Amino acid sequence: MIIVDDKLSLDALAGRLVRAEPVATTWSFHYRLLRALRDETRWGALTRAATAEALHLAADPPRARLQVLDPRVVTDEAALLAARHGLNVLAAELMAAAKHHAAAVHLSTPNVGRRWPEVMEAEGIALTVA
Amino acid sequence: MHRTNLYLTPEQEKALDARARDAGVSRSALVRAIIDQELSRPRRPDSELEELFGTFADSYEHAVAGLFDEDPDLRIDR
Repeated sequence: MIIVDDKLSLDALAGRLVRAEPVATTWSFHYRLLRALRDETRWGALTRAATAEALHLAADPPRARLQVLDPRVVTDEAALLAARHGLNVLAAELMAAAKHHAAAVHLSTPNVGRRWPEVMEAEGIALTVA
Repeated sequence: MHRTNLYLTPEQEKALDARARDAGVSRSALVRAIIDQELSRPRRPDSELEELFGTFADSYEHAVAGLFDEDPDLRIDR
């Protein structure tokens, strides 16, 4: 399994990110994606072209393209990592999910936090950047 | 017709009943009409949806700039 951010989740939904292993995202990144898509002021004509069907698909993605991981199974691990490294919820859930599912993390460049690479290395999480 | 049980929220039930009263039909008839309307709506081909998501992905970084700055839990620390 490979865990991606909000931007790469869109690539997965567009069929542009196809991997041999399952592609997944965390609840927090999925929330960020939907929060952004629902903000019509930011998309202008693009949002007007977006059908309810597309937004519905983003809210409940086909598992073959993108899995949304259940955050509840990693809550304790996320809290532990947050306390250990001073992470926010977004980063803590991401790294806890990667450890729990023994998954690699694949992020778009703007979504790599300043300290994330060193924390992931310390936690034994493989990170690649698109 | 087949009998089906549905779970509705109180808000959905209230709204359905109000509209059914206005239309002079039963709640069941109204639900069937709404389902017919939804199912008759043409679906976009997958290729069009893929193109749309691809366009979103291409514009994403620009469109969401600063969007999460006020929420420390969703902010990327850069």
